Amino acid sequence: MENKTLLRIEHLKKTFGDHTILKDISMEVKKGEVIVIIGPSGCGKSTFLRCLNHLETIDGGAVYFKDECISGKNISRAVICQHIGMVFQSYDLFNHLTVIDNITLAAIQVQHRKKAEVEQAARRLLARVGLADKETAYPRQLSGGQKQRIAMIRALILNPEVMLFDEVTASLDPEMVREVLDVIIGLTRQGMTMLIVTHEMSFARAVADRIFFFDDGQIIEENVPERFFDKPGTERAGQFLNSFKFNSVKVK
Amino acid sequence: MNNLLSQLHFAAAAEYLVPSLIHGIGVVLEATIFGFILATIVGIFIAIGRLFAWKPVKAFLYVFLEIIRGTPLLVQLVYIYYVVPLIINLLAAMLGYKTDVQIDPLTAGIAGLAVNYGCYMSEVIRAGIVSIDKGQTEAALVLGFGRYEALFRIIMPQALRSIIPSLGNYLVMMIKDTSLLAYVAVNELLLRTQTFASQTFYTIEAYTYLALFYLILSVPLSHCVKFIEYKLSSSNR
Repeated sequence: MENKTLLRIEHLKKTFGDHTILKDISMEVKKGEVIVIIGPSGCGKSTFLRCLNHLETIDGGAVYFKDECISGKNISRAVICQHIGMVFQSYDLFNHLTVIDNITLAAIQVQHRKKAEVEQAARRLLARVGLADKETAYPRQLSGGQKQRIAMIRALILNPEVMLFDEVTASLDPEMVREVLDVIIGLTRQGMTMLIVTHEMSFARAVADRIFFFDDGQIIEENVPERFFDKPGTERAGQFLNSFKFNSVKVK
Repeated sequence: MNNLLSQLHFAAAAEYLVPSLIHGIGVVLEATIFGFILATIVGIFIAIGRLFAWKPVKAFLYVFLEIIRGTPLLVQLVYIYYVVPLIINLLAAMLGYKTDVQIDPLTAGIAGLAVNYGCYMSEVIRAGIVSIDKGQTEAALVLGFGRYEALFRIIMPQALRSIIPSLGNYLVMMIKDTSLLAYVAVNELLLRTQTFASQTFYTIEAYTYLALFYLILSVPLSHCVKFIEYKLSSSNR
């Protein structure tokens, strides 16, 4: 792993009205690092990802990509999105387009790449995630897991250097979670830099280089996965992790 | 019954009126096709303006919509045909130019249909745009599309598809409303029939043929719309 800082977030602040969502978030992400962000719902972890690529305007602080400030108001989103890809919980495939058109649209229209080259790349990626036969299908004909894998390819085909995953398995049936997470695991092997918001604890433990525990708009704990899950350094993280365990529950 | 029929002259009336009405269909189709295309464009722009434009533009569009929806189409047609040219000439005279602007009847008719229907259709289009999930826009934005690219490439195609049946109903209504264009001297079906009836006194026969012609135009069209609606709903499953 190279030790170059790819993404640097300094004192990020976000408010909605008089409600402060993110208080003071600072973080450095090195190239090839996998950061997993966990925390109770409403803690600001999704908003944090959305601030990085201008889906939300920020109210303080700055975001640097390779030492270049990308959080200014005059920075065009189109430029940022060349470097930072994002996948959502709700897939959001374009319903009126076929799978292949969903994947190739931005590469052709935004990046101005040749249609033939992009389609070839799309087919390669489809084959890699086991969906080669779905090229001409429409989103409504696919399962949630299939849609999410295609949403990932749609982001990856633009060759981003950082990927943001915002609870990508949260609306999937349990048996489909694995096929989606396997794609992310494949990306870690290729050295993709990723920020992942998830509730899948065992997955988080498996892929993360570092875990950030968010609560109430702040970073409460930053730790390596083994220590975080076995012996969390803060009480709040411990309480949060306990809520996933049923050992102490006695029904009978 | 026999007595009644023997007093009517459908065959004689048909001999002169039917060829004239067939000619008139061309005018009706021209007004409807151009009127509808323009109305759709007007509707799209008003819908987008009312959703995303600068506040004063939104307010202006709202007032404009209220005026158009608060006055009858017939009054609007008469206004465009008779009043607008007079206003233009008056303004020109105040600036020291002598003009004699006149609007061609069919042009005035198409403009009236486009503005009136555009306003009503804008509400349907607006609802269609709003009904598309916000995630679609966000997905387009994070792929690097601009706001308007996302709107026209991603949102509008889906919105229009979902409202095609409603727009189709406006098309059927419009083809019948072209009869109002008779009042601004467009030589469409109603005006041809009126002229014929007043010359021949075959009033019963003439207007019966007229009604028949509108039926022939609108019934197949409304069934086409129903068919498209059925096709779209079955392909969305």
